[in-house]
Amino acid sequence: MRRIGALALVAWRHGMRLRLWVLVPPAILVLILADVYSPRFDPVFEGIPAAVSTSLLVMTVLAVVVGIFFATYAIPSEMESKVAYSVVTKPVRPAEVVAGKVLGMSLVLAAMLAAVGVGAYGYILVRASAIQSLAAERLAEARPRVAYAADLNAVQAVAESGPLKTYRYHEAAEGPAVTLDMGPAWRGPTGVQWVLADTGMRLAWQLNDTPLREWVNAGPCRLRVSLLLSPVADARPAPAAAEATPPETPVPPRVMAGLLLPGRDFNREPTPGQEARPINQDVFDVPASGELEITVVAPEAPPAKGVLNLPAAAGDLGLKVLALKSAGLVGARAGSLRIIGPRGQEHLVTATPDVTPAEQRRRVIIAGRSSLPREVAVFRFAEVKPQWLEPADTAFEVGFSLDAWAAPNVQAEAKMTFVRPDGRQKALLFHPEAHHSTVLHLDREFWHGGPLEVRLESLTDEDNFGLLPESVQLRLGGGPYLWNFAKGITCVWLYGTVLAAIGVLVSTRVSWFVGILTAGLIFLLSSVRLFLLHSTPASIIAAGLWIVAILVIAILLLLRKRWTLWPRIGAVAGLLTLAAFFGFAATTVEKSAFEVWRVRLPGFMPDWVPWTFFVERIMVPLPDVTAFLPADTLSMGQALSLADLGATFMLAAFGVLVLVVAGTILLRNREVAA
Amino acid sequence: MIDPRPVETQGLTKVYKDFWGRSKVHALVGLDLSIERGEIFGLLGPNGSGKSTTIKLLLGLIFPTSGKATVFGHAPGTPTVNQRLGYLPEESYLHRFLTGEETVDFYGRLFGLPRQERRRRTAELLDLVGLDRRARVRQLREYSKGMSRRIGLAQALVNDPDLLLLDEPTSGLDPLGTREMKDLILHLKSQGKTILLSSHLLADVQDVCDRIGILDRGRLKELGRVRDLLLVRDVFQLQATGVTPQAREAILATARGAGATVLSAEHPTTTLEELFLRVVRADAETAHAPRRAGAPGAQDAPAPPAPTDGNA
Repeated sequence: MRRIGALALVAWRHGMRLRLWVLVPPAILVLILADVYSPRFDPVFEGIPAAVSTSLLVMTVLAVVVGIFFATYAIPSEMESKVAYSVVTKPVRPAEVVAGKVLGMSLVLAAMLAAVGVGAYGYILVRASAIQSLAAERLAEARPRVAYAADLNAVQAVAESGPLKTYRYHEAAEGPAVTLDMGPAWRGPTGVQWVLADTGMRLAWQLNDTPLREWVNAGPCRLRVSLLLSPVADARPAPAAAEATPPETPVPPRVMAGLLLPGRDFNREPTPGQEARPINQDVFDVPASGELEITVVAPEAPPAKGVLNLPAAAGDLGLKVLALKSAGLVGARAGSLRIIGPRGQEHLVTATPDVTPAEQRRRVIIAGRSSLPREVAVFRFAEVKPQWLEPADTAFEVGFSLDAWAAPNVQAEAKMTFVRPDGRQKALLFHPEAHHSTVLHLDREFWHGGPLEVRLESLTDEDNFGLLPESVQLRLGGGPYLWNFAKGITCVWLYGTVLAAIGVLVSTRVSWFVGILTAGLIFLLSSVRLFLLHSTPASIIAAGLWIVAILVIAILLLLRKRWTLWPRIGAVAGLLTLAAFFGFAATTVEKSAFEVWRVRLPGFMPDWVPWTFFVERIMVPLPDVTAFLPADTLSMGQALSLADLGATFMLAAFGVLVLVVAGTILLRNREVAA
Repeated sequence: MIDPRPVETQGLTKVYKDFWGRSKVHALVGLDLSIERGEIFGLLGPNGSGKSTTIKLLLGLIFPTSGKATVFGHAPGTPTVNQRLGYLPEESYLHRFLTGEETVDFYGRLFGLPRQERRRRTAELLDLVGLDRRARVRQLREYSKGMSRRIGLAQALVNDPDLLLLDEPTSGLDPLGTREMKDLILHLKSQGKTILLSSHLLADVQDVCDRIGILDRGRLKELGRVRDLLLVRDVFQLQATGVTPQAREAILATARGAGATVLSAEHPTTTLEELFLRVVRADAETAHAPRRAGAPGAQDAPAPPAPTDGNA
């Protein structure tokens, strides 16, 4: 440890005497300017989270710059200046050299982030005082005009005690689950799972345990679905005569149905001309009886209108039904799906269909229709920890980041009902605003932690709320969260340390220039890992060409050591331009094949060719460096739990350990004076 | 248990290869060498003869293509070997952003010396190599070449090594520094250290080495004790003081009478180095300003070599 400490101390002194700290004042200036000039919807509630977010983002950039450039510079610079001769001829093991370097870089990074953090926090304190007075002004202006006092309670809390701490319920297991509240006056059928048109909710059946795949191999099958339709009785007020529109041709009730693998959703609405291709989703007219029949054929069978091809890829299979606008309210009971084989054999799916939101974004939409049963989002605050509520605040708030859209000139109105486990309820009415974080005050006497059920309803006709699970927040009084900011900086530091370890690892075998290119490539690829996993072949080809280009550059640079700087920069620029052109060309070919000739290149539809399978395996060895960054904290300045921080720390420690071991192996077999 | 020889090589060969693995340069071919404890061994040779390659192989900085090298009976480059080793590179390859004190302290830490010991050792070594208090707190980037060599020597001695590998130790030093370096090398020998030095400055090697090996194009051409190798066996030289012209003529006549051929009979000249040192030291004494404190040259230097007959 003494030797690792000595090497780390030298790396630290190197960083300090290279005057890396001169980056600190510009970083603080950049974060202040970025925060001042970035658009903000609601400075009272979003001001501090945005400032925290901006600060952490700037610090992340700093961590990347220092982590990659300085760390990658460390070992090659010692090799090239032959300082390594003096170091490795002492009783030092390669592991100690690598570990010492990484530790030193980490110390440099910690100091720089701490310095920027202190500056940033000073700025946040200044912002907080301004926000407090801004909230007081808003309160004085708005109180006489606001109908619902609940709207202003949160503003009042900010005015009195400063900005609120925010806790986000990400990955909440219990919400929001959207249900249709049929109300006590409902006289319709019971035991039915309902979905409402245009809310994105689907009825879903699992088909894994059915003989569908086996039967389809022998010939076409039929899926017979018994749907319940509730006609939309338009109870809206009749439009004024001047605004009346000519009556439209009645449209039959329609649904979209698809045979989809897990993680897949409806791609898009089929467009004319798309019939001449294999399809596994389509739009179906539902007869008045509600009996919908869908023919299913083998993957390779010629496509036809109203016929679904079974997905070729293996995996869990499901049938999803999405109600289109003309269908209004669509429901299904247990045992409403029947599979009929090519020889007339039948299989009954006895399970009750699930009601699921769209797979892609898990967005739920709560629609306001006075003519229909209310759609209600229900979620539970079971995760609230008592310590979050310390010290004893007199009030706290529950916030929702809502995507709300309402008809012009309509004052949106919504109701939120809080239900305690003992059944006691409290209802608050409020006016949600589009894209705003709506914060409701909930007094401590009613609830101070523990399970709580929240039901969110839209009360206005033609008014919808879009809500994501992550958008549910709890806000507490208590200032601009120093502790949480420090935790965020810690995560950024861990992130930078892992990048530094990557830089040191790479630099054990190559020159500084090639090392930076390689470390940068690893960083970029691991940062866009998720994007690549869900991208089309064209973008994968483009990314692949980039990789090839950079490898070619690296090889050229290895071969041409005598090249001066400008030819190197020219080679890099030229090859990257070429790679970008190839990527553009690949994308263009793919798009043209589809748009002009209606030909889908393999992989365009992910169900057919498992591109993602291929890419996933390529990407597995790459560390997902972004995993070290607390996305919520970065994006919205949300609180980070200590458990998450601990997990991030362990992950980073493991990552660094692996990288140090790899670096040791590479360094051990290297001729230092070669 | 008998301590193995400090350095031993058998058929040591190093071939540098190009990017594709093809042989490019045969830097060292079949070197058989052993260095005994307590001796000063000089590796001589022109540029590119394989001196530095030999030292790098003994340090584990490069790996042999074939053959074997051992240092104190172990493979080179292992922590066990490096613990007993001091190395002064051809140029002082040190962190230029560290100060003199920090440099010696850093290398002391690499040897696992405790803090108190490091402090004591740092002060002692910086005194020894003649770096004054102001120089100690300056970064190495501000050092002259001579100062860099001195701090390089200090780091090489930080662990009180049993074996010192000195690559061109007098390179970049002024005559005074050169002399001090040579004095120091002899001082270290008197402490029982083994020293392997490489140089192409023949006078330096001649002054301090017990044995030498001459390398040329990677091959060992000559190996033996300096005195034996330099001895001119068929020439006799007499040096004396207080000889009158008559006595001189009598000695010459006696020699000729005995059948000897007198090649030269003249007053010897001193070396330029001796003259320079005498002048510089006289100036320093006049100014009452010792050039440095505690330098081995001041107290521990052996008597200067006897003046020689320039032509004998």
